[in-house]
Amino acid sequence: MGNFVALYFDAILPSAFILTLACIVLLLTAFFKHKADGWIYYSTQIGLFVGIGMILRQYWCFPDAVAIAQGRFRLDHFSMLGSLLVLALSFFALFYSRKELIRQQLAIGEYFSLCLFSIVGMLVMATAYHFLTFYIALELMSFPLYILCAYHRGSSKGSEAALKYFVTGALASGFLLYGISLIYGVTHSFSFVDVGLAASHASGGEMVMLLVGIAFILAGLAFKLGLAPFHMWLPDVYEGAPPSVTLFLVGAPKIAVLFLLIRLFQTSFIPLFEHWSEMLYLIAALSLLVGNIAALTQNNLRRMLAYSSISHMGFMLLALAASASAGLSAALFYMISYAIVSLGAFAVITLLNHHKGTVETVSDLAGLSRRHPWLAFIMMMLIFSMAGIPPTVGFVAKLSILLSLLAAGQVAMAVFAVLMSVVGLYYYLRVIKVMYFDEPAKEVVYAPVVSSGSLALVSLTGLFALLLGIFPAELLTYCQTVLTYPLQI
Amino acid sequence: MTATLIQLVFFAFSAVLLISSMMVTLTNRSVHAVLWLILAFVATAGLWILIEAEFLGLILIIVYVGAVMTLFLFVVMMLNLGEENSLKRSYKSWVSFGAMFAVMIVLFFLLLVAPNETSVAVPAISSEGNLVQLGMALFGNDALSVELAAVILLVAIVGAIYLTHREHRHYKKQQISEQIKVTKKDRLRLVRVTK
Amino acid sequence: MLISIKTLMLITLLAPLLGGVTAGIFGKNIGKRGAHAVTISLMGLSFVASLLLFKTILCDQALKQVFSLYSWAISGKYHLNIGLLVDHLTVAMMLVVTFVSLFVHVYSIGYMKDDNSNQRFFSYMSLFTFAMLCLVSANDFILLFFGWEGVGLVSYWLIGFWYEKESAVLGGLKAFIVNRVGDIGFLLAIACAIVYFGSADYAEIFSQAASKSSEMMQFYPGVSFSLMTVMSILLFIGAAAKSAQVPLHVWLPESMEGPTPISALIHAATMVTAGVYMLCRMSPILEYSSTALSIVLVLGAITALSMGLIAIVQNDIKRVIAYSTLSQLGYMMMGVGSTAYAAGLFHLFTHACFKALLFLAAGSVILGMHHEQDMRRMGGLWKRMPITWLTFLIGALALVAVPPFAGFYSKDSIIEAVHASMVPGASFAYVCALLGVFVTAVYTFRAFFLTFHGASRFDTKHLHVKESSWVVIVPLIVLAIPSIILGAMTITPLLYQTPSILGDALFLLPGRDVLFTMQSEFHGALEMTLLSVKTASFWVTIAGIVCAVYCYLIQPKAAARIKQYFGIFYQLLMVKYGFDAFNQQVFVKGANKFGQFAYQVIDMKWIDGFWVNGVAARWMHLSKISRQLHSGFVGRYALSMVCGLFALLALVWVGI
Repeated sequence: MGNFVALYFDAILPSAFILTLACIVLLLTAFFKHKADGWIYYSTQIGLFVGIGMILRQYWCFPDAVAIAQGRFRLDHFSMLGSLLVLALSFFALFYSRKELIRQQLAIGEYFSLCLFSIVGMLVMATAYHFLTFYIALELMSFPLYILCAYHRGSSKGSEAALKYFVTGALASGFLLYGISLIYGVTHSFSFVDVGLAASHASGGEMVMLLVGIAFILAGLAFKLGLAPFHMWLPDVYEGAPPSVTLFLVGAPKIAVLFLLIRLFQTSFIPLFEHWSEMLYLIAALSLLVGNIAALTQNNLRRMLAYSSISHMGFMLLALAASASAGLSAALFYMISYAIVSLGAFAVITLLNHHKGTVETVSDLAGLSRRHPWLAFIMMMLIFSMAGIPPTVGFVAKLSILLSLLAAGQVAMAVFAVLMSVVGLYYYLRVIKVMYFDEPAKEVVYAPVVSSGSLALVSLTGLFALLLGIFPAELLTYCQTVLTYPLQI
Repeated sequence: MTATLIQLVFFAFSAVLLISSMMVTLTNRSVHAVLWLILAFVATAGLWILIEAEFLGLILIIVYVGAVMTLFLFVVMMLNLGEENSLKRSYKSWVSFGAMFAVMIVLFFLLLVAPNETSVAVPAISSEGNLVQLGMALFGNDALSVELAAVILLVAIVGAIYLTHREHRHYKKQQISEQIKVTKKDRLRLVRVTK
Repeated sequence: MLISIKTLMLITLLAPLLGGVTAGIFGKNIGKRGAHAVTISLMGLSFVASLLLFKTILCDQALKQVFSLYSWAISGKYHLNIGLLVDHLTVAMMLVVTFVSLFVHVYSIGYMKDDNSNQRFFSYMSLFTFAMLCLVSANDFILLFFGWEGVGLVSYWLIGFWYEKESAVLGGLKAFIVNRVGDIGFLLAIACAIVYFGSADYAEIFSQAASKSSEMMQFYPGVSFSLMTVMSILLFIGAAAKSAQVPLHVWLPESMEGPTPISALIHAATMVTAGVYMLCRMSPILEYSSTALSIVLVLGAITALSMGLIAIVQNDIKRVIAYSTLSQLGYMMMGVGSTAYAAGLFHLFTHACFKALLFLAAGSVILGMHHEQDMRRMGGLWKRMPITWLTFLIGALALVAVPPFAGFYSKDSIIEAVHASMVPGASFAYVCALLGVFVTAVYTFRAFFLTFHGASRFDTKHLHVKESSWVVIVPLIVLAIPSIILGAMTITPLLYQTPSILGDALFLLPGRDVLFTMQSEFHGALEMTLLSVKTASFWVTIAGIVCAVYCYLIQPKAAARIKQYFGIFYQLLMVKYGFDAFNQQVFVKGANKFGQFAYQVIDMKWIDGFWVNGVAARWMHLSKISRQLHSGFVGRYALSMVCGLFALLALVWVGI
């Protein structure tokens, strides 16, 4: 029993710690109002670091997979990688938030506590091994995000986006719950493993019920990842939410959902692979189409990047649909690199916000190469990576996905994906053209004031895009290694 | 005989639940909507009791019908909302879509799932009774989930307070960092005054 | 041996490249003199290296060697390597190329002294030599093709060297375009090799040749040809363009717009013989197709006769020699076609010397006449330019095959080989060859007499014609020596000795070896010379010379009378059988019309309008539509989600 408690404690330690931190931040806000702003910021960031340390400790302590609380959770290197990425990406996003919040004169305390609550949800999601845990964690992740979207109460765009996000999110939750209940109806279990076992024996009506359940669950998760046709909230939210919130939205939540998706589909639903891979292909193809086409005529930078993110998610999903082990690792590699790259791109945009004005449209970047050459270069690397131009990481990521598609015999899909990438080049290269060749409009001629810390961090993402593109082998291999965990039951 | 009776009760409660839920969205008056919602909860509670989840059914009536909905009614009455004609009109065009989808999903289940209907075995209810089982679950393995659900509520409270709090947050104060950053160019403009 | 063969090969190859690049890039810095010094000294180095190679391989009978330099491309199962092949044929060709090239370099100092772009000129010449050396030392089709295109490219640059002159530019263009036709054939032949033999490597291909000799190549169901025939004909198309065989000969006369040293180096001695060389190299493939051999033989014969006839009516001294080159190339092709490859190569070597000599002598005349090329305004130059006169005479005698000059041995061997050959069309070719000999004598001595003898038909008071400077004269004298002795010296080892000094580079099917049949009647060069009075070709030559003496020296009016007598025939020759007009009407105008169509309809409307801009516009259009779909109404958002869900459910339905 003592061992059980210790194990339980060990397993939930990082999320419990972050939860405690969130509550402390909330209390600090309640009692000290704005005087504690600095404290809140630093304690949050240090806390995230400590959380990372705790996860690393788990790496040492749990070399093998451990099921916690009779399979409610599962702790293995896969879940730890997810937690680690969530914490690191959140750290990155929150690093840029403070200045942005000050610029917009928004409250610091509630923001950080909400973010931390959301992070708790993500951490639990990465370890979830049970439908109940998974659903509650998903809601815990999403709820603060709805609120954060409306964080700038003075902004009607933000409130509108938040409302839409919330309403459609409720619909998606409905899908999810309905799917889970259908699956429970067939398998009488919430445990991922038991569902997987039941699914492997399912036939006839049971299988139909299971597939319908999978369709509903997939719809719900696709909403969270922003996949077409469940993507409609995404551009509005990316554009309408405060920049710092967008920054938070693009990285960690998607990683968490992807880890859950891989876990769920590889553990529970893998016996029905032929059936759901069709669904994934459909959603992926639609996302590629919608994302790339809609981005073409977007002038708003963040909206354009939102559509681009839809197409990227579609690209990544292709590999999940192909789903050979190489495909999975390609998807994971793609997601990790894309999360970092898109975070970098949004960070650059956020950095360029100035007390005299924010960066809204693509043309606001005009002449950046002269105003801040290094930032322009970093942005170029990130955009190249998104477009998939060698030698950046995006190229390797796209290539490995295409290879996995070809290995699965999906030549038509691969051709389609390549064609869509070509369409995508248009709006990516437009950004670079504007940065390097266009004359800035008179009103926005100023050199961005960027602190050395933020510059260093954002440079890291740009260099990451470049270096990981040249030496991708390590991460690719690691993705393969770590993916053996969800595959073993 | 009992099976038929149970089915009869089930369909009756289901019908009430469906109709009342639909009325929640279709009615023009907010007060009516809340009342229809109460009916929906009652019907749900009936369904739960039918599957021998008595505790949950009663809790639903006590908590939702007795407390939450009453609060809702107060709020709605205090806000004194009139008929939402404009809203209704804009939603009218969606009714056809809704009906279409409803028909489609019913057809889907009738055609695909119903023919292959398998006897979905109800798990055996343990002798301890489901209240004990519920307790064991909530405070045993699923304790963390319960905690997390509580956190969701906390988040909801924080969000609600933050978003609706009337205190003017956009107060004016010195922005010291901004003041330091100011350059001559920002404040001073030299103008050549011609004669 | 102090220096390895590989090092020698690399020196021979790369020295001209270094010289060419230096003169080309640093031309401004090193100046005219510097460019001369660099290119000529490096060219000399290359010549010495090739001499050493010649000695090592031929005289010391070193074995044939193959060097692989590096892998150029690896694609699937195809490994394309860049490698060098050193065998007897290669070193012989290299020696000829570097020898002629060196002396043409020297000669050019004098010829180009008034020109301002000496650096460019010398750079081109060295680069040309490099490309030509690559061509002859290639171990596979890839390097061969590189050299092939390299010489073509430099030839284009050099024909258009005086680019202010429109005719020079057009001449260059013509050469370039006509050669493209041949390149298509050549490239297809290479493709054939890679597809059917799985390699571009000579050794690999030749080793499989026998086993694939009966393989058929299917174009489309029901129509198939022998692989060897198709490949050989494709190779011949390539060779015909490069070696200017009818009907792809039209570019060579135009190429005379280039400076005369170039005409000597490229369009007489080296590049134009590349086709002959290549066909000889490919003898293991050609041997398996008597159809292709027959085509080579007949077209060679037609070229030899018909081009010689045109030379009679030309008035430009360089054009006469150009048409004579065409005719002689025809003889070489006849040698190849009659399977006497060695004889073809023998004529190639001797021709390289005496034709270069003739061109350079003509160049000397042109220099002396202050860039006057029309023979009708010359005459009586022999007193004023004695050395030029003498060397030109030696070249002329070699060309018309008077014993014991070099050309006699080589040309006579070819004629005898054709006579003895069993290849279909050999008898026709033999008649052409004999007539060609007569024609050769007529036009050569016509040019000789018009230029050097008779009355001076230019303004002797204002035009002071004097002998050229030593840099021009020395190469003439140097080239005159092999023009006299080369034939007698090398006929035995080259043609009738076993093993021949060409080693095993040439391949002959048993029973095809015409030279072997002729060997029984051959008893040494001296006897051949003495017995020449018993051959038909000798008397035909004498007849030709006598005819020329009568028409152009004794009775100058006779030529005009003949011209009137055979008016139509004369006109036919003047328009060069109408090849140019035909090309102009059909190909040039046709290509123009098609180009217009392609530009205005296919490119502008179809590709640009419909595809490029059209597709882009459609995407933008789609994007605008999608923008309208993302209208911002939350109801639509939900609708889209529900539609998506139903699409998934539909998949479930379909999947079950």
